[in-house]
Amino acid sequence: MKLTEQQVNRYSRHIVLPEIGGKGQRKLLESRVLCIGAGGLGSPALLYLAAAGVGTLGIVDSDNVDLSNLQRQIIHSARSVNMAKTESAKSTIQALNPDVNVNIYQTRLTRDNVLDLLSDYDAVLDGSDNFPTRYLMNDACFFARKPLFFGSVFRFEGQASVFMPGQNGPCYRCIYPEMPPADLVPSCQEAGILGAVPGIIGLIQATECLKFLLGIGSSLLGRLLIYDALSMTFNMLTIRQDPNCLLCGKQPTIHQLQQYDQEVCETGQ
Amino acid sequence: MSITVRIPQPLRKLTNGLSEVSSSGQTAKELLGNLDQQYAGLKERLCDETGALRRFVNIYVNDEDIRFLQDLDTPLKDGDLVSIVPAIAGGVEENDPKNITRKIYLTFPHKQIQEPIVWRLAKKFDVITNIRGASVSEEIGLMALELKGGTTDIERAISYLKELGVKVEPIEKDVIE
Ligand SMILES: [Zn+2]
Repeated sequence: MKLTEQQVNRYSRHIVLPEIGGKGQRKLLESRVLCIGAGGLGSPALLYLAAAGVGTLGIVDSDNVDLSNLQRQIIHSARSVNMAKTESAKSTIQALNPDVNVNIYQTRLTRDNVLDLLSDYDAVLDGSDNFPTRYLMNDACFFARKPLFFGSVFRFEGQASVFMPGQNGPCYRCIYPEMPPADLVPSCQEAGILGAVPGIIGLIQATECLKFLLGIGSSLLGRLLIYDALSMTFNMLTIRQDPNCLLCGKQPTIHQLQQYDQEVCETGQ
Repeated sequence: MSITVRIPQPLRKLTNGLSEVSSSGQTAKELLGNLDQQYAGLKERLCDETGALRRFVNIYVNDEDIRFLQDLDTPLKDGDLVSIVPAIAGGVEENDPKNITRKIYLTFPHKQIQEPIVWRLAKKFDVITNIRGASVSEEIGLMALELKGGTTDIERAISYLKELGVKVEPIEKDVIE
């Protein structure tokens, strides 16, 4: 694949970087990333992945745009209220960069459809806002051997990491073996969030994903980044593969996808 | 000896909003005990009934997860930085354990002495009540009460008592044990 004159111009600020160059840019254009949720995390991540020229973006979301989403879900606009988030995100991306093919899946992720969806992609960016989807994606990416770019936010705080099955690092279950019991999880509407916080975390996920696609730098593999907006601190913690992990440990008991039956909120954070 | 403890967003309600607090302890377990003295209720958010760390909360000493050190017996030294890091998600209000026990001391005003308040409490809220001691005179009623249930239910039950004009005070562990 040869870059067109327009592409050389569009991506010139990438191409001049020795770490990327024309070769790296072509890699991005040939890459395929699946984004879970077009919400608070997915919005900024998708916009930057699209702008960067990631050639194929898959978007999974079953929700419609609500006015209260616009405080942080910047891929949508006032015009897209009540539209499917997938459609709204697709039209924004197409207006931004026609180089990008957008595949949309207006569906809920389940253990029956997730592996099929994953098989078409090189990497997964998890922008889900609930534990069942997070554990489902963790397990599915482990079985499908797909790198998972993890992010999570709560009020003024965020976490981010990278899970790469088969690469010595942990999976999400190594860090948190069990999800908090369902009755500790009130409705999604109850949880407030400073809109800029998922912006920061979503872009950390996107940055890690781009680095992976380009094969540059050192990733958050084995490290958990904790962001606290109120004190404006970034803390880095070491996370390890747990030999007792039920999924990726020495004597795993999880050999297939489970029933993740906590009450599920909408996919998008 | 001073250890800095980073408190995550969901637990700052208990630390008056502080994101970092100072405490002490020779081990992680001791530290949690001391923290609980400073900020009542912190430990039950982090540990289950057996005293083990809950499986959706981790504690890091400097940048290492204590599960890969000596767990709650991990030794601490002056200047250590301890981080408490729960699993978070947008849909989660807080890591609110389902079954906690809170011991409270109730002082009933004169007009409430005749009322079956504890019975009503158990009917109205999803809490298990256990009277650990009581003394009632014509003027005043005192009761040591144990409440078991979800944090939210317990908090609601306690506000209900307060609304009725009952004075509610926490009990230090050894008072009734
Ligand atoms: Zn694992």
